[in-house]
Amino acid sequence: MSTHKTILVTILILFVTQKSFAQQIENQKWEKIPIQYAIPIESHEIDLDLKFIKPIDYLLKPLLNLYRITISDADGSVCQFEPSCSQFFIAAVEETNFIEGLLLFSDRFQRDANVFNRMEYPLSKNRRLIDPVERYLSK
Amino acid sequence: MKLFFVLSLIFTFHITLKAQNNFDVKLSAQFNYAKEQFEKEEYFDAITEFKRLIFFDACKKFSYSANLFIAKSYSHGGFYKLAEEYFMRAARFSRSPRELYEVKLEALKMYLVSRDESKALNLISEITSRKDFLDFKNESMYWSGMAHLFFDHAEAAKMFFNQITTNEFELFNYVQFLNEICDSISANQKSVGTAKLLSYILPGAGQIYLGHYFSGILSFTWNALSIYLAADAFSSKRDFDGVMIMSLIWYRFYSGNIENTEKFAENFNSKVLNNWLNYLQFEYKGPKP
Amino acid sequence: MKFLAKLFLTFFYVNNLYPQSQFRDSSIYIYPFVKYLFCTGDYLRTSNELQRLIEMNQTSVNEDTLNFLLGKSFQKLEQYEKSDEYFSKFYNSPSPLKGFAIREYIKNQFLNKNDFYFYKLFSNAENYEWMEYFYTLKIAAKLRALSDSEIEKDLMNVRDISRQLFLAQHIAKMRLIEKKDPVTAGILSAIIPGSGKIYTEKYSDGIVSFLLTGIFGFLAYDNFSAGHKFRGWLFSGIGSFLYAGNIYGSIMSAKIFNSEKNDKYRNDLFDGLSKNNFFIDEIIFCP
Repeated sequence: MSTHKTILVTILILFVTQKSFAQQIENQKWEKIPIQYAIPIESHEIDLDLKFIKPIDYLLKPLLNLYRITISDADGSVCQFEPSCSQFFIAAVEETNFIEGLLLFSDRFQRDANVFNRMEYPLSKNRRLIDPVERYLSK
Repeated sequence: MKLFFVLSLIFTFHITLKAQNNFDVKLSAQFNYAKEQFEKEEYFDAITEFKRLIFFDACKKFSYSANLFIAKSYSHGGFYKLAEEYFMRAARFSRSPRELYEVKLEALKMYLVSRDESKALNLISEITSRKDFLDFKNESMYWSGMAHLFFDHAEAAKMFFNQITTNEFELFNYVQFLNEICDSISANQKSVGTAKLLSYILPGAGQIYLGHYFSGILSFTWNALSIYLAADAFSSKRDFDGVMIMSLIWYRFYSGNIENTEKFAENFNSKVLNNWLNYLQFEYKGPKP
Repeated sequence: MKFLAKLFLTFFYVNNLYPQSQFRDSSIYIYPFVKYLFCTGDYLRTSNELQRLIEMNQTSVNEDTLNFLLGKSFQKLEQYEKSDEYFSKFYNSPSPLKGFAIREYIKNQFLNKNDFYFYKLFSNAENYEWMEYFYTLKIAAKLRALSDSEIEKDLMNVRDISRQLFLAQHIAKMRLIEKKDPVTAGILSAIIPGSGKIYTEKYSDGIVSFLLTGIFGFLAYDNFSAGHKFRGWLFSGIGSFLYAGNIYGSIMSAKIFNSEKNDKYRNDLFDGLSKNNFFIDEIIFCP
């Protein structure tokens, strides 16, 4: 099996098995789940965001990808939060507009700088603090 | 007339016998039907039918088997907590050490497939230490070795395999082969410690040792650049700038370098292991989870 | 003789023929098993077996009982629309289970958040045996939606004293839910960076914002005074970025504060409803 295929299948199976692990109550008739002996490997391929939806994407996305390749990968995962700060920024701009996205990012940056607020956020599986953009969109 | 008399006697006798065995026959029929569903991999239905069997089996004749089958079915569906519950019930109804052993073994297989290392290892230490399982020692060593292999402890696996000395053990040939797999894994994996040490001393070296050239060079460049800028700042008495550069720039790239090295090393080793795990899953003919 | 022998042999043969699984196909065996499944919490299989039983058109068990059990099973599975299908069969039925079924139906509307239902139906005060339960859950639904319009009028229809008290307490609690004004938070942060966050009880965030904006403001001023134009502008830019973000963040913080308080209220309400037996199963099938 080629590595790419393995990784793809692994991620798919991880998705499926995670789903059924979470539900220990039977809600509907289920089928046998596929099993895989191989360990799921976190793919290290830097995911380049190549979806150009809005016009501003043509400016932002290449810059972001460049950032990811040269800086973000090399400096490790310093962001305590999930999604990471750069992902948060992109999601914020996509959900609102550039100005609001920038403001949300500024706020996120300040909250990141505050090392004393860690208890206020729920923990994710990877021991990161969960802080999605959805929380800050106008309700 | 005599024939008629004899036949009617046999007939009545047969009917009374049937009345007593009636329920047992029905239970056996139910058991066979349920087992059929299990063999057809219709696990949801199998569970329904085994539960039905348990409900009507007042004498608990089938309790061990039914609960064990239910546990295995839940395991196939990914409902591991429910499976554990039913494994425990099957254990309660086991009538011999061998039956209890089978339950533990099936539970172990489930933990291997669901990658629950702590539960698997706990179960192994229980299986290998119980006095009533001494008769099954070779089998226990086989499965202990298999489990350690699954969780990337090739050396430990070998230790267990080497405790199977008798070539009368039916799986002896398989054990030899598994030993070779362990050797191969140990030979091909790289030391995480060495890689990290290299990166601590010279940022980027660990990544290059692991074959990630671009990442290694990039890491080295950033570290070197930030140190150069900081040194430049300090030498021209711009201490504040120097401190800022060291803490905001250099530190990130140095710790990122270590983090990446560790990740690369672990991924590399996982790939080596996965190679063999895939073989075990698809080509290996011996007993496996 | 030969003929008789053949007859007996045929008899033997027929007696040995048993269906694949009599427990599964014979209706007298299914209902006890269904109750066992229900009482051990396996509602999915309960519903499957009940549906099979109904299709068999058997007569040993009352169809009303089966419909009621099916309704309960789907309710436990949180499949409220399916549950409604079975409970609504009791609406025009003379069955003694009718009152219970209608109350379960009302319970479904609450659990499924069909609040519109509560405002629409039963608008005339009619003295059915389920009206009190209906008004109880109608009030609970309004509280869940944080609305208190005409809620006292509904409360008058709840005669059970303890339930009345419970609901009155929660109505009062709802009116006292603490709120923070986003505009106030924004203005405070505009005047003193971080104060808006402190107003919304995010104390450490507020202090950090204040410090960060302050530091960069100071650095900008300091560099401009020393003639370092580039650095002055750089630090001003960063400072403005932080200042603007601090205001926006404070506004958001107020909104988040409010929604968290509302969620807490709802959780407490729901906890209280369960603990005070508003959702108790009135018919006990299980020993």
